[in-house]
Amino acid sequence: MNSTSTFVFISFIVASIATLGSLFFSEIMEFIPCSMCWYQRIFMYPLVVIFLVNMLYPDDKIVKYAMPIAFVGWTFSFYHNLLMFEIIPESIVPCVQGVPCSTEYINWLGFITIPFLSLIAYSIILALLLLIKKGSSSNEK
Amino acid sequence: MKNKKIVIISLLILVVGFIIGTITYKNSENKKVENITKSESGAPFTREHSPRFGENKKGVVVVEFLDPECESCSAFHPMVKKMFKENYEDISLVVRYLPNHQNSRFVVKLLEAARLQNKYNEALDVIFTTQHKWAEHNNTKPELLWDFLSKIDGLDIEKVRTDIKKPLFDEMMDIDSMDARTLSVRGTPSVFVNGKRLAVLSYSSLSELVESEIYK
Repeated sequence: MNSTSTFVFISFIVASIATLGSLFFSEIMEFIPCSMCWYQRIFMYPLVVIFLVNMLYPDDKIVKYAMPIAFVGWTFSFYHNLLMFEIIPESIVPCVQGVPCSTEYINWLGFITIPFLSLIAYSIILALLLLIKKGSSSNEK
Repeated sequence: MKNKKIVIISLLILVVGFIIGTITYKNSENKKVENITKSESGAPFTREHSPRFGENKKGVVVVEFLDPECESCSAFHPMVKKMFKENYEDISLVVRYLPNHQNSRFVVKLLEAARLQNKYNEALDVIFTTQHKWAEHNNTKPELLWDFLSKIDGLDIEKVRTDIKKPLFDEMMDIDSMDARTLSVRGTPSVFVNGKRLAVLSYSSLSELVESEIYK
C-alpha cells in the first residue's frame, strides 16, 4: 500500500464512522436530526461510496471528486459549530420547523457535541485529501 | 487483490460494530426501564390524572403514550380498541400524552374536556378518524374539530369551550411528558404492558404481549 491508498483508506474509515454514527444517533437513539445535520449528512454519505470505489479501482483523480463534496460539507459543519458555540446567535438559524439546530443532544467533556464530531470528521477528511493532493503533485515532478 | 480484502474486512468490522452497538444500547435502555418498574409502583408508568379504562381483574396495566396529531397513533388506534374489546375484563388501559406536534396540546385539551362529560372515547374516535382533515401537513386546521366534535351526541360543546382553559390540563401534559422522558419514550405511539415495552407496533404483537401477561 502506498501513502495515497492509505490516506484514502483512512478517509473511508472516517466517513464510514461518521455515517454509521449519525445513523446510530437518529435511528437507534432516536434523536431527531435538525436541518443543518441533514445538509452535513447529504455531503458525508456519498464520500463513503466515493472512497470505497476508489479503493477497489484506484485512480489519481480522487481529490477532484471528493474535495468539492467534503469542502461543502465542512462549510455547513463549520457554520453549525459557530451556532453551537453561540458565536452566531440562534435567531438566524435557518431552521423553521422541527428541531432547532442549537439543540444539544450529547455533550461530552463540555464541548464535544454532535456537530463538533461532524466538524472533526470533515476536517480529517479534508486534511487527508490535501495530503493526497500534495503527494500526487510532487510525484508528477 | 490486497486492497479488496482490507476493504471487505473493514466494512465487516464497521457493520458488526454498528450491530453490536445497537444491541448493547437497546439492552441498556430496556434494563433502565425494567429497574424503574421494580423500584416504584404505578408512577412513572401511570398517574392518578390519566384516563383509565377496563375492569383489570388480572392486574395487567397497558399504558399507551399517544399524540392526537400523530399519524401513526391514528393508524394504531383501531388495534388498541380491538385489543381492549377482547381483554377489557382483564386489563386496565391507561392513556398518557406526549404532545409533539403543533396543535397537539390544544387537541389534548379538547379530549380531556370531553372526558369531563364522559365522552372521552367518542371524542378520541372523532379526533383520529378526522385527523386527515384537521392535521394536514403544513395546513393544519384544528378549529375544524369544533364542528366535528359538536356532532357527538350529548357533548356540550360550550362547556368544552370553557373547560379547555383549565390550567390542570397543561400540568397533566407536563407530567406526562416528564414521565415519557424518564421511560425513554421519544415517539408516539409507545406502549407498555406491565412495564414491558411493546417492540413492534402491530395488532398481533400487541395482543401477544397482553395475553402473555394475562396468562402468566
